[in-house]
Amino acid sequence: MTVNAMYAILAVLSGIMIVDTRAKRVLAGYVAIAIVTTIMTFSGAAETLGGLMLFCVATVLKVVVAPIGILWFVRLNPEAEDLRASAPLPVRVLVVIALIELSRAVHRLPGVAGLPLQPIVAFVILCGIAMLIMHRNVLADLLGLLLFGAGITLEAALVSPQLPAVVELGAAFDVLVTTFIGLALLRTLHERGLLDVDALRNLRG
Amino acid sequence: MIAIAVIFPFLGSLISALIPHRDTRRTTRIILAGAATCVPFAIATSVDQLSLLFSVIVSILCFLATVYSTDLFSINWTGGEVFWSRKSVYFILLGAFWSSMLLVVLAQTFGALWFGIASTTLATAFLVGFSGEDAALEAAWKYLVLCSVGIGIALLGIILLANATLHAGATPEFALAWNVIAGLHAAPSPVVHLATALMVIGFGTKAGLFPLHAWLPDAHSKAPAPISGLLSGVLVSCALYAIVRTLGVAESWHDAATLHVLLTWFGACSVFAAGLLMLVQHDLKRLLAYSTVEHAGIVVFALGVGGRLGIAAALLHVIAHAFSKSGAFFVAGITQREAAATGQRGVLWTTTVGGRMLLFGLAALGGLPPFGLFCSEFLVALAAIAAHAWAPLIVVTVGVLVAFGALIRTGLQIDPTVSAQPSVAPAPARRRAATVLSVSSASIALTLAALTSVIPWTGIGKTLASIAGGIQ
Repeated sequence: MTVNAMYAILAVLSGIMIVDTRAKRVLAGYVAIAIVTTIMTFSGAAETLGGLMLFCVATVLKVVVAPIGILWFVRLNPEAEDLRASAPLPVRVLVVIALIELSRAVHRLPGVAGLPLQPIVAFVILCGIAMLIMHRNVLADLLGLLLFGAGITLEAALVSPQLPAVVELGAAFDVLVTTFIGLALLRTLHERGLLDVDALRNLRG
Repeated sequence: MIAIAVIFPFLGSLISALIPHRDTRRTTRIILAGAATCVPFAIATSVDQLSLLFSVIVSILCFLATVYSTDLFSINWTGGEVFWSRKSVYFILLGAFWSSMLLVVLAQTFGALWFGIASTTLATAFLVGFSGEDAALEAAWKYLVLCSVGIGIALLGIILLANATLHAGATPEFALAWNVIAGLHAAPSPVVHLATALMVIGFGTKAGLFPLHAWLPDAHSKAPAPISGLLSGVLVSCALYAIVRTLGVAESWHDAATLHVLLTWFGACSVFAAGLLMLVQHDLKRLLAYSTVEHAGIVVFALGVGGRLGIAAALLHVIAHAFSKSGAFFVAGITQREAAATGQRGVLWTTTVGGRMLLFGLAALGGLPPFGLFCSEFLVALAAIAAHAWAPLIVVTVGVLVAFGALIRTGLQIDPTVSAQPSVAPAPARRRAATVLSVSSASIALTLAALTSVIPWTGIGKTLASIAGGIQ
């Protein structure tokens, strides 16, 4: 598979994560993105045995353990399967198009111009942030954070492949713990009927 | 040795949680917390003055929060409505919080510093939602999501910074060490501009700077009082420490002009917005939380103004604010408990111990003499005048005056029961012990807040000037 094909896959999957409203399909999209970013980061990490081991642990945490946790939550709480889009389908598609245009403009920023493939990274990161806004089910916040994290991992792979693998491991550990703390809070919020962001409006001003 | 210093508070909390007998556990907890407070002095030669200064602030206030928390819960406390609302979990998370903040201030690289900042979010998410109330859970959720986005942005900046340092000749293992970066003597680079801006935005989210502050009033007002004190007084200081380190790197790269402008206006807007938002608060802890946004704004404004005086004033403000705000939140907890115990409503400052102490807390935060914030705000104003930063200084001055008015007007009329958390009110049998411990902790914090006003005339003042000279 060529590098360009991988970027095309990343862009399509990130867009689908915003447009789609079924938690399992969105999660599958995240896993596919995480696998692609893992493949892209492999060459930088595999230079030393220690780096390779840390890379493997980070990969298992992000690609296997965190998604299994979310899948387990959705199986236990079938109501969470619907991510409840906060805007109709045409608006969501328009948002994706707007994000594509915005990402293309990133290449013109001073400081970014000389770095490789920044529009793709920007698109994945912006899709992660858009996930937080475009859905009313708070589970989408967690999926958005995972997508956001995948974008940052991709940036690390592209921009600083020599970055110590321990940083990558730290980021993966953070993703994992955030996911499980998030799931614990989600479980309680669900029990209280607070899974919709509209219900989380007690604290204002 | 640094690793031991970092892990010590967490280990201490785990060890004390394993002790079955209640009174022995309580005593052990305080002894181990006291020992952990002394540890930073043992590593004084291994870290620089800035790290040492912040580690001392972290340790003293975490120790006071531990003492305050010792009798926070009722003697027959069986847990709240959620599985993590247990005394043992509370103290273990408090230990983890303490250790993660020490990791932030004792780290030697931006990688470790970032991991420390990320760990503070993870350690405190359950503490914010500790009471199990719907509003507390909402606050914990917002805190987790918004801070995760913020620290993600900071990581993005760190990755870009690594790219710049690697191109400038740093080896991969030291690409993020600030001592190494300072010695690179590389030419200004647009990548460093972008990297440092992203790091300031990311760490600024954790410091609660406007407009990235949305999580802060919720989280700080819904956590138990000692945790609110640490979140506002210490965690925000740790985030500001990360910004100071970022500024240091930008300065060493001779590339800080843009960053100074960003910091100046980031800070000025935070002070002004916080002042306005404080006017409409009806909850004591929420009012104090918005005051944190204001003071974080003053620190960032001072860093933006720059120069030796500006940076030294910013550091002095961080120290004075840490003690003042922690003390004020400790007092807020006492007034809440008194209100819950007596059923009294309305103005408490004329009738109760906590109410009278609240006067001191509000005076400290309002920047009245003899408290340290008076001194630091005066120095910040002098630094801004010296730098001819007139427009942002006017914005900051208006913001500070509005905030002062809101603090006095609202703070003295507020009904503490609005944000009372009955789940953390002690049973009558332990009320006396709880009162002694909490009043002592709050008194020490407020006394230290007053003593910070003499810092400019002491050795610590010279140290601050020396640190500022190193960063500049």
